[in-house]
Amino acid sequence: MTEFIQLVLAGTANGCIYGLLALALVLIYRSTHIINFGQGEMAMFSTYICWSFLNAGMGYWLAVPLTLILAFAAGIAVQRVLIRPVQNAPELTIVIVTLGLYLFFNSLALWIYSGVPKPFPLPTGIRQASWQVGDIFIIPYHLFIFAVLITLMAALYLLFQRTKLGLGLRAAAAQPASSRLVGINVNWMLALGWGIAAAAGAIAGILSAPVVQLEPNFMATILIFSFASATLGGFDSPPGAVVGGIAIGNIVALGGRYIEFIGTQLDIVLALVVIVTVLLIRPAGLFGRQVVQRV
Amino acid sequence: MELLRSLDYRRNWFLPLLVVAGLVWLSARWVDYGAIPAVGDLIEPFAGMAALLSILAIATVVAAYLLRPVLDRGPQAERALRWVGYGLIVAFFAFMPLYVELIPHASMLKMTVAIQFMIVIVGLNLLTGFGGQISLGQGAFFAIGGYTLAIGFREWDLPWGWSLLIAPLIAGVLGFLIGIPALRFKGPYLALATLSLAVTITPLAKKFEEFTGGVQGVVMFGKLGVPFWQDNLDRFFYYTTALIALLVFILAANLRRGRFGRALVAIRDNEVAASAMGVNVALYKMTAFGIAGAFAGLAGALNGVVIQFVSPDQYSVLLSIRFLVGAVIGGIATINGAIIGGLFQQFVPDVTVSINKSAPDAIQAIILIVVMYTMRYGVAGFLQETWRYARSGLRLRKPGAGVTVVETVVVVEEEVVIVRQDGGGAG
Amino acid sequence: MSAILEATNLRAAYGERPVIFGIDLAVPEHGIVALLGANGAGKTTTLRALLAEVRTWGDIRYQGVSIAGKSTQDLVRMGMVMVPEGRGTFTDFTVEENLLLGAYSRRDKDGIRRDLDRVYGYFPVLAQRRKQRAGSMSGGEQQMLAIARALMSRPKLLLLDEPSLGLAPLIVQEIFAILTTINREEGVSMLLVEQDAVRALNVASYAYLLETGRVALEGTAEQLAASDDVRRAYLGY
Repeated sequence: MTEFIQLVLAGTANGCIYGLLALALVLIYRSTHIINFGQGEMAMFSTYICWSFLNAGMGYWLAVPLTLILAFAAGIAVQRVLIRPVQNAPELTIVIVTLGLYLFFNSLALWIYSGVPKPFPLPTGIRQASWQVGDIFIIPYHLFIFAVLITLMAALYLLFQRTKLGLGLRAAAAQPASSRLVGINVNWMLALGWGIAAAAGAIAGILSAPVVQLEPNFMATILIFSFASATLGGFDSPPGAVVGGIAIGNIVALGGRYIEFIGTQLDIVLALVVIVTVLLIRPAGLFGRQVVQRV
Repeated sequence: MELLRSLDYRRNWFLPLLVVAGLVWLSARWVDYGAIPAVGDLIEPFAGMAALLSILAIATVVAAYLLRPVLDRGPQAERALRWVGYGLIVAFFAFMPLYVELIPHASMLKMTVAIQFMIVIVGLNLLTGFGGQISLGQGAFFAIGGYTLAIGFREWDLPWGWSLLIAPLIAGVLGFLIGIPALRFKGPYLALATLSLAVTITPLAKKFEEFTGGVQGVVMFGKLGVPFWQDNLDRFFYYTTALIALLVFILAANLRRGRFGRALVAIRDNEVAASAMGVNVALYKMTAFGIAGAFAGLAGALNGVVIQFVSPDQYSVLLSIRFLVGAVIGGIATINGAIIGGLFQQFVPDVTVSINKSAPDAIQAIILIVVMYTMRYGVAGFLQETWRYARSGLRLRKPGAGVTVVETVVVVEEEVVIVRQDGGGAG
Repeated sequence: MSAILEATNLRAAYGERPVIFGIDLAVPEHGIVALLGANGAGKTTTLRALLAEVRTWGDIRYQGVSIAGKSTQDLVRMGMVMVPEGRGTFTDFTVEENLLLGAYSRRDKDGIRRDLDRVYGYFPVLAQRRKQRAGSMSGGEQQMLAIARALMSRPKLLLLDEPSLGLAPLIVQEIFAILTTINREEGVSMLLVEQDAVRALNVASYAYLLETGRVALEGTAEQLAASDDVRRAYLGY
């Protein structure tokens, strides 16, 4: 039982990270119906930027906000420069362009930072040693990750549901043509959506870097788990993405331990199984809306 | 004068840009671009590729001009010329040993691998280009081919010739079966599902150590016997691969032109309408997956034979992405594009790796995005468009023609498909 | 009477395909002008051209100033607002959110509050449903919502695209009554695209008849209603 709880704690912490990146995917999918295959690599590159700041002697609590601002701006730039021209192109074209993003950021990171893993620090003020409650060890950083996720969700909820900008963002995503007619700058809203997604992805990257090592491919696996999370939660539901993320985190943690065949090597297979199962049984995911296909 | 007129590229605005890039490339002899910080190293390969492309395009225009007397005789002459073109391509590959050393960076082995890429890409062109089914998972089938060979060799000492027959069967059946869940997935979801398939294959191969040799892989070096040319294995494997590729291309072209291809395009363009006309959508989609899988499996087995080594890390997810990138750059909805795609995937990484270990992927990414913006049907599509444009430009001066501008809307191999209803059954 | 909107030699195209070929039209300040014509005559395209939603050539003057190069958002901000065909309801949003979206280009919070009350006054049914999902309402209610939403942006000129489409006659009557009230009480000018020529000519002072992208006939509402061509083709008697 102790072990089970321990696994759930770790799984949930990882799941929060998957949920964050899934959130980024969902924010973009909801507004532009694009699955951004480059999301993970954009997050990875942001994490490297953050590492550069830290390496240059900047404090954690200065480096991270600065990185997030840069990631936000980069997200907007990517949308406006690369995505907008192909927004109405066939799906294949868009998939290819986002794959181009994947390749580009991956190889650029390898080029600039080499493949040698870099140590990434815990946030200043978070202690390394764990607390012991009965037989269970609680790692402070896990709680920190959880707190970040909750805070971010609350902030996004307030932004989307309680502000005028949020109303515009939602309207532009749901009905671009009507939005234009009430005077919303739809293109700008979509770009903002990419910016927010890029920042959310960057948070996911920065949070996971201290746990796994920072190297150019470190987000690739996380991206697949995030795909599974977003699929499970529903690609058009931000809360679904987070719940899906936590579910996937636990499925992976528990599956790896209790299904002997899976072990630690084949955890990615679980992601594949979840993706395919969900798409087959309930394509809209747990929280998504079933869309009626029109001819 | 007529030739110049045909170069009036109101549609093909991209060509002048290419010519400029070509000039930049030529000027590299005198100007040291490498001295320019940050991007200097990149200028030459990009300009070089653009130069190559513009040479191809200009050659296309010149050919359209020189062949005008023949072409003007009518569609039959045009068809005959097309066969001459195919003949030239086949001859180019057939006489490869004579001049392979003259081609920079080329060798018989590299050409062999390039042709194996072409085989995969042709399958992808059918599946994705004509069938509209995005697959990021062809690397998985390639791996299945490779492991069919390796396991056959390891466990039963199976002659590799048999593996070449079995591999496409296994990969084809698996592809066909994977087509079943794929029926439910659309667009980006399908890309997602197939991508996760590609990601899974490496850890699976590592897991089943007792068959696959785990991380170490299966070494077959020097143990695959050949009936002749024992002293020149490269040549033997090259011709084996090339011959198989020729058969694959003929098969693909026939599939494309026949009932299967028409049905596939109909499904891509309007699935509901196709289904309403009696096309068995599920069967055709699954068959397309099966064929693409079989081609990839065949190429994977061939690759194992030539490299004489199979290991999990050869089949990373990047391989799958490279196949799709090659298909897209060559021209996704064209059969001939596979030739360009295969050569591109073999030689561009090879040429650019000298800049930096990760330069090939970065350059590919940039080329990929540029191609998507400028040539949606890839290089093959671009050349086809250039050809048709040159042709229509040359026809401008026909006596008595009142219209001065012939605006041909060129849609490459995208002819409107009318599915015939006379067949009943599956067609 | 001076014109709030004046278009000269207006042309528009979807991509490469021209749809309207040189239309001259004017909407007088505080007036209602009807745009009649069969399906495909270019009525909707004309509205979309005026709002810079399609590729457009020609001179358009709004309140005496040329609006060449302005984006749709700019024009909405300037008080030129469209009630689109099919109503453009934000289906997943509440009625009140729809109305707030209508006021998106405004910054005066108090004014928006006051306008909400004013609009609910015109359309009491919307007040009852302010928290309801807009997509769940009937067609007539959604049409009212569309007009109310447009009013929220404090329009000076409303471009109405087929407000009667698919609605029961009684509801159409109600909607047209409200439109005339709005025109009279608030002085909002209107350019009204309608299939239902009888009703349109009833409320409009001036009308244009479009045929395949050109003005085939124009005149006061009385003149058009009396014209044989119009009677035969569009009035059905």
